[in-house]
Amino acid sequence: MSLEAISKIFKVTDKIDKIMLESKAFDIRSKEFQLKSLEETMEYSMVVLPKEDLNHSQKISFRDIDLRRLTIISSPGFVEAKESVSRIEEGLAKGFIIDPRKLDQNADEFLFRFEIQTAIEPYMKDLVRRDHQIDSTGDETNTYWLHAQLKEVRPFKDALRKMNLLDIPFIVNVGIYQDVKMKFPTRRQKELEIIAKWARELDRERKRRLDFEHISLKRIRHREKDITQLLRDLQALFKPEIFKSFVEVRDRFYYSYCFAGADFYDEIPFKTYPKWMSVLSRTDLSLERQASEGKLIYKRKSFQEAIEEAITRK
Amino acid sequence: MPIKSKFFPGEALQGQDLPSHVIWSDLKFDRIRIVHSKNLALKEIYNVPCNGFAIEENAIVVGEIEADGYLGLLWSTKILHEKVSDESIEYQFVLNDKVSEKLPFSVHLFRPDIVIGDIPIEIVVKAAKGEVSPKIQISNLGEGTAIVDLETVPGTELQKHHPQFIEDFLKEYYKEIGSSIARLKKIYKEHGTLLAKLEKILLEPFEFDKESLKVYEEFINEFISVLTSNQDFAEAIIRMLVDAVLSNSEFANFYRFVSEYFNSIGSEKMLIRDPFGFVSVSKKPATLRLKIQCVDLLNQVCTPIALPPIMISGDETGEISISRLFEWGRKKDEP
Repeated sequence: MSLEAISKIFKVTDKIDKIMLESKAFDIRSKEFQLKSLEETMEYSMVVLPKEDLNHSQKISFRDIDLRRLTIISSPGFVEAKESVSRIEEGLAKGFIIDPRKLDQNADEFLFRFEIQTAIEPYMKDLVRRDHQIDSTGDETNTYWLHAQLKEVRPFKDALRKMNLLDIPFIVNVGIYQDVKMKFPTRRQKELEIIAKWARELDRERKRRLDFEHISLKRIRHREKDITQLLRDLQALFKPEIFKSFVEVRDRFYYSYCFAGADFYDEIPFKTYPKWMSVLSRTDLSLERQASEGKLIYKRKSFQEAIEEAITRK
Repeated sequence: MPIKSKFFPGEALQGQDLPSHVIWSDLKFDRIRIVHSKNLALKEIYNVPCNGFAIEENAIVVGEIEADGYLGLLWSTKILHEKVSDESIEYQFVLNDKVSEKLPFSVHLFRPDIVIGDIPIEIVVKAAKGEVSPKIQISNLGEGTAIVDLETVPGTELQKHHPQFIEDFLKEYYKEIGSSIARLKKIYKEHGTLLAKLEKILLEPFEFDKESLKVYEEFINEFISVLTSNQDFAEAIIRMLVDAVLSNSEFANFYRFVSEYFNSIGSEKMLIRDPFGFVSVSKKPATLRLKIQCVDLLNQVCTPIALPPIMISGDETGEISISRLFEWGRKKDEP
């Protein structure tokens, strides 16, 4: 599986290498490669030395490669050579042209950076084995281990000076259902049931009985928070900007986003409150750091306290 | 310190694959010997050539590493007879038959364990109040989450059905999902196949048989992979799912749905798959035959439990949710 991604990557880099070598203007000294998940880009960089007097070099054209950007930095000085790079826009043909004659003739070396727009996930899937804890135990906190590791190292180490896989995404479904259920008082569940029955009841006598039952329940605890407000306040806890304070991502992973998780287990798709919160975290891998471990900590006790507060606070 | 990083999970669901790695520098060794308990088996090995390792009884010997400094592994586990088990594994870096570095790990493997306690011969239902006595006792003695499915045996007297408002809800829901997915297929042409699979999953809820669960698992993996890489698409899907429910005229009775949310959660990490599964009751006793199935969070099926016939009668004609016939979780004085 990983071979497919490797050959796809090298197909692109070989194409760029070939164009550079055929230009006979530069010697390639070292190559670096990056896959950036967040930007959805593949970045291929090379340090090159000018081979001849650049004033006599031909223009170098990069077509049929889905380049988003081409940047050249000259060294020493680290100045971007903007004037030597131009974009091709000829009908459907797109790409970039480099004019070596416009490069700094006194530069010792150049860094060429090719940014290729592509879907990164298929590459990540092939190159990286991703695992995380599925079910967790623990009363005050639930910890989910996270782990990413490279399936292949050698082919990249042989060809590249550096390789970075950045912001590799992980989605973990954190079970929150037991805390919502545990902290929601039974008598308020009873109240919900009475209201639900009342709304559907067409028989006048039964409706009156339910009315009475509800009033009796309310009379005992007349200072209790209104149920509609309570349900609304509870709903707010599942908003990403609120829920993120109940999770912590540690070690070599970092928190990215969270959202109410879909629940396909339910036979009837009743979407009220989520049973799972999906937490997106990310990590990086490289040829020097071939595996990465982390922890996603769900602070159950704090979340339970927040539920309690949403239920009681007026 | 020659060992730069090491990892082996501390706990996992039985049946889950366990990743592991060691990263080192300036470490001399001629082989890495891994001694593991019999409930762990090597599934994949990274940065090692095909003929660079040997499998022995409860041990793996790695003789060759492709690029020095990293060993990646994947171990498989299986569902065990014991509901919890602590397994050990040790990585030994060996030079001239002497162990120079020793890395011991242990993992706590757990699973759900659904057990049925008291099964009454006869149950009486007070339909109006929703009171049931006595109840069937169901417990999860394991540490893993269980999604529990309660089904009536086909061809027997009492059959599971959904209340009319749920039938109406589903009719409208299916229509809405159908048209929303058709719209999304036009916008996200590249995800057409995945959307077709999602439509099938949403409109035909999966059964608890191995084949359906496998299809479901494959779909979920593909679905998560696409959602991870395309946030726009992820948001469009979530919006569609939420809108299909919120725009449903039957959802006007929001309280009923919230109420069933709570009813679908049993204690002891048990989730009830269909709290809307009802059976009819009347003054005349009728026979109920139930089959209990469950899956864990890896979609692994637990052994199904068939209950003996139970006579159900009510103080008046009505219907009761099957899940209400059960006492979920151990009684307070039980261990």
